[in-house]
Amino acid sequence: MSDESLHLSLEDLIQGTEGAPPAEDHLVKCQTCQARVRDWDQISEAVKVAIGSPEPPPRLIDGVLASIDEVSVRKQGRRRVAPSRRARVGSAAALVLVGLGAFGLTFAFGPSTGVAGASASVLGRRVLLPQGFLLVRMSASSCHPWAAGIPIRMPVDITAKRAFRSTGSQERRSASDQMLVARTWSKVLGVLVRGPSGEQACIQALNSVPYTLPAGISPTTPFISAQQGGSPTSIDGYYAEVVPITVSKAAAVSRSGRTWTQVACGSGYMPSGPSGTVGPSGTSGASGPSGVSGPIAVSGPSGVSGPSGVSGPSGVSGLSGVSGPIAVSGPSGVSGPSPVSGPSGVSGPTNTVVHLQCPQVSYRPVPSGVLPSGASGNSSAASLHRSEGMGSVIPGNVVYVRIPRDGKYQLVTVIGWSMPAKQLVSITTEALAPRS
Amino acid sequence: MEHPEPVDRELLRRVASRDRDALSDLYRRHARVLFGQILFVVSDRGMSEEILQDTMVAVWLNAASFRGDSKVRSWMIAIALRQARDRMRRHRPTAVDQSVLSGRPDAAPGPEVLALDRVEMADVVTAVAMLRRGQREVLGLVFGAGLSLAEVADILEIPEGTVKSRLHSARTALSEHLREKGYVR
Repeated sequence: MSDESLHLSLEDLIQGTEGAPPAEDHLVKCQTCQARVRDWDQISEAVKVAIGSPEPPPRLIDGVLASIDEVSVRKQGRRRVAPSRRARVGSAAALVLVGLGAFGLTFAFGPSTGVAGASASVLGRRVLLPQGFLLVRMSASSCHPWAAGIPIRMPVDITAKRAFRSTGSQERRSASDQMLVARTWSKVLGVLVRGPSGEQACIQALNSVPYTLPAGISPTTPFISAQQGGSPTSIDGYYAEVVPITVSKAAAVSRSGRTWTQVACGSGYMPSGPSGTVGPSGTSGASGPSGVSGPIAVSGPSGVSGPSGVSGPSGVSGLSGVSGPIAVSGPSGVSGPSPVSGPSGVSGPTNTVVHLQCPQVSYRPVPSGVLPSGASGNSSAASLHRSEGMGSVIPGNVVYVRIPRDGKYQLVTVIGWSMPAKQLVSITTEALAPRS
Repeated sequence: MEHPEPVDRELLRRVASRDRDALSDLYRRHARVLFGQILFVVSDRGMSEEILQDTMVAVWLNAASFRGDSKVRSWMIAIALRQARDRMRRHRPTAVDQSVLSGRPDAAPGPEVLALDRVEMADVVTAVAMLRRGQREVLGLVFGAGLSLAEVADILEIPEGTVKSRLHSARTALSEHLREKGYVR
């Protein structure tokens, strides 16, 4: 016990009072110390959970022994790691992928263009570029064949602004609950967009390239072909589905300082990014139309579709700061071999209240035509898409679901949900479960 | 696994006399704790493995210098944490040219899977991860390795009072985070 306070000492509080009768007696009577002990116990549990019980590599000692052999040979000279270790170290590099946009970054991949030497699935990818965001750089890693760099506005901003509101009709959760979800997923998201974390060694490309707006593609379209990057053989058999969001109407509102909001089924603010937003400074040398604004709400599926393929870089990044919310109408999605048809974004005035009508079935069965060859067995993914509705969308939350196939993975869906994380986990677990 | 100190000391003595089997035995007895502590601090599995390897090599090289002032395990943890600090100071991501990427599929679970696995404990991990490294070190040694405050002070080479103050500040910060998540009243 502490002489000063007549309460238990820190050692007693955190390491127990067993074997110390005076302290035990005090603890029985003192509610303050009981509360402190409970507090420390909970922290202790939290720390133990955080530490976990990571299993060290059983063969690591072999590398140690090999190293000390060399040390012996060299008479305390420089230490070298064992060959197997060296190879591993050589391949371990970090990662940092990309930024992630406010309204989420959705990928869609098209069929092969048949370019020799490249994986079919890699070519013809398309990026669903969140409107109002600028795709400035592209890079890649061995874990992520390519990536797009866009101005980052993490979803945590949502919570900071407290503009995240429940508008979903199916679930009425408190704002704090939803903020928690948002915050949680913002953390998860950090892992996702960072790509390989501590557990995974990936090689990150040193160089990124300016994104080039393909010829004939409007800068206002959310579907923009991605340049190929990374390893064409690194991860095969990707596809993704674009989740449709319907905006039924839009009306201008005052700015009132809002810089962020959710996209949800129902209504909500959908402020634009700053007009003329440019990407990471100096990275792309981008110039081009900024602050594109225009009429509101072009309805109906616009179907930006086209041949898959990769356009060559021109060194120009012409897309800049498409401002104004979006007013997207009409379902989008992946249909048929033509990889993507979907909403064409037309920008409108800034800071607009939009009313979103989420489709009854947000996830569509994935047409077999968009699957890479041999991927037809993804019934689980198809059922997932059929059965799960979308309550609302947290902009910037992106969920990747990979289905192992032939030792590799497929990217099924990239989307943000404001559903409870556990539910999402169960869904993705189902999707990831082995299938007969 | 029991870790009777006399056994550890005998193993370390044999290591000092260049007994490879003794080093392997020490590894088997303490690698899990060492690895947990390292990983807790550096949050990078690959780097943690390297640090653990470096730690075991350092144990091999310095076994003869063990004075017996502390437990063998504490001594090894101290080495590991020093290695971790050194490594983190000089750690820089390695970048390579894009052409190197070709033909290098990564067989490890994707970041998505890892991320989803973590969701349920994300709150806890997030709260702990937000602590300062010095706070995490103390918490990990006290609650993870079960060391006394004096042992922690010895390992970290800081006064015991500093250990206590770090514990208090960590508790304050952690409690705030966890209370938000419902973990702490």
